[in-house]
Amino acid sequence: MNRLIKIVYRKEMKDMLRDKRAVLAIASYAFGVPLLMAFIFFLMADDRAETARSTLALSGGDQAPGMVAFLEKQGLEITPVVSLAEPESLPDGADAMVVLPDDFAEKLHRGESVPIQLYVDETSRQQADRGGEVRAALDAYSQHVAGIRLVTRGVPLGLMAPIMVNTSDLAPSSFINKMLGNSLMLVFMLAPFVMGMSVALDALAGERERQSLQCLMAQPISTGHLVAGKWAMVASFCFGGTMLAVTVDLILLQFVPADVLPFKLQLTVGGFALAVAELAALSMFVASVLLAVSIHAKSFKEGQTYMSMMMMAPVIVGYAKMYGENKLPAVTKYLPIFADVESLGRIFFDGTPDLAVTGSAFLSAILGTAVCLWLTSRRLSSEQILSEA
Amino acid sequence: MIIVDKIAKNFGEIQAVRDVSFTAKDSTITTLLGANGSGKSTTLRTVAALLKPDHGQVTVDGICVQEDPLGAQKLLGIFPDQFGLYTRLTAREHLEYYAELHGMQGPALKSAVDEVISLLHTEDILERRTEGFSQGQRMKVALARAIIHKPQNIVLDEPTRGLDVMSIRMLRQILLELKAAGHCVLLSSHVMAEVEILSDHVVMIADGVVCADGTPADLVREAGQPNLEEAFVALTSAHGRAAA
Repeated sequence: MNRLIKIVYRKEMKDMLRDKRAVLAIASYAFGVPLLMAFIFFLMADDRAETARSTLALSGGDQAPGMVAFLEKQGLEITPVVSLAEPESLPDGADAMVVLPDDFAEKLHRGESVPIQLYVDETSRQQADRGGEVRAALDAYSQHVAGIRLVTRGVPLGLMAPIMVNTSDLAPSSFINKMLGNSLMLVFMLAPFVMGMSVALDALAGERERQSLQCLMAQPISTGHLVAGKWAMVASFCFGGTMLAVTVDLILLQFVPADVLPFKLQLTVGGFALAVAELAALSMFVASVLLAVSIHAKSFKEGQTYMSMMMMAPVIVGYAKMYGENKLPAVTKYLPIFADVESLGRIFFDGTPDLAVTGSAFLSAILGTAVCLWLTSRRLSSEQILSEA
Repeated sequence: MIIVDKIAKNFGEIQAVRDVSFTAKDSTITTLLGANGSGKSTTLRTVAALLKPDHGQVTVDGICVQEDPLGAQKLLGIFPDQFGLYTRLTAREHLEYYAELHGMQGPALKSAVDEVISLLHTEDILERRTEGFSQGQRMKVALARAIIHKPQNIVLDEPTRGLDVMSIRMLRQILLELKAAGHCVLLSSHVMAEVEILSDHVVMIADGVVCADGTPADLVREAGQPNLEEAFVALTSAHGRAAA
């Protein structure tokens, strides 16, 4: 490293490591976000738990022992209740409620059609799904009884059910699992932005606010060296903070039971090394973007406004990737940030990197860094910035 | 020695400096005297290679500032109008940082820090972070920072602004010592008493133009006034009438 760049870098590191705001931002993201993610995984896991049985509150079930047995065989837990004529809500703990009429057994015996009332509560997706399960089980029972009636009348069962559908899900992971996996990659990708924001603001907007920039620019050091030294410092914070966040995440994931995790990590040693290199390149790019934004602010407060606006870009890209992946043109996966989420996802979840996407992530980071540093250096050289300082 | 030769500088429609020429010699304290907005700071920023003049040129010990700004900056010690200290760094860390930017390292750097500490009597604040420093203490750090690399030419933009009497007296003493050591001291001010006591050479600026140039005694004599303040008013008013 050039001697002047090293001098600026050393001074900036010393200064920023004493900045409580910067250290707090790193600590809160590195330790807070993984805990939040683990919490979300637990919540989602509870939603998806296979062992959880739908509970059906059944009124008049003493008339229908066969139906109760059938529904229990279908995986439902039956709770006998006595229903009001017009219930306003489901009994506590019930996912649905069925009210059988008083003449249920008699009509069934006569081979008539019996209207029964199903009550569900679709306030949440989970409750709606559970209500749907009960409905499907009741339909299956209806089919079962109809089949028996036809068989006893000498009609072959195949006439009533010409086709029987068995469904198998071939997707490697469900939408929700993929979304949660992508959200973990989004956390990694946003980390350098969060980790470097405060120090980038202090490095340039802060220099202008405390009016130290003029004196610094009067020293025998070119703007290129000055920007390079400050960029190296911001990139160090971005990368160091990101690696801390990734490490904490990976350690924490080891403590989450495998059946709770919505995805399976397939990380290899080589893959991890590649991911570290990619995060380093991303950190360099993000550091240059943060400085390019910071140089346009005359104060820390003004800079925070610009940074908040700028932060919307990676968040929007990340969410577009998570929710609208199938609707985006194929070329988008080679764009900055898109490429990073895609590439890191492949490395972490598939265990085999997509070299085209990973290469694209590296290339866009290097080009982006060069452009942003050039813009920052050019802006710092302008007389306007000193007259405003 | 600093030679400013017919410089002019515009900021869009505003003509900050129209025609300023003077020579600041070694072993001399030269003061740019002018009202607020007269062009003093713009002239000093041009000398410090922070601004490029639209016309004219500045040389520092024979080096053209426009052609070799970094070369000229090596020969300059800059004391800006705002001290601009880093609140999380100690006074010593400030001095070491700026000395390193001027290429100093190892024993030479340590020796330079010790010398400047002794000159400015800053031993008591050396290891303290500058957050919470008084104006006088901040001035000492800023001045030490400007002279740590022993520049031949020292440029100070309104150095006494905001200082108390004791700090001003100390600053004045240091500037006189620097002058006695053969340095070229160039400063800007609009405080008449300070200019009269300190300056060997006064350059009066009004509306971006040099309207008078000489020793304080010469200027008083030229204006036919009893003191420098009256002379300043008379000479800048005469310039205003002539320009109109």
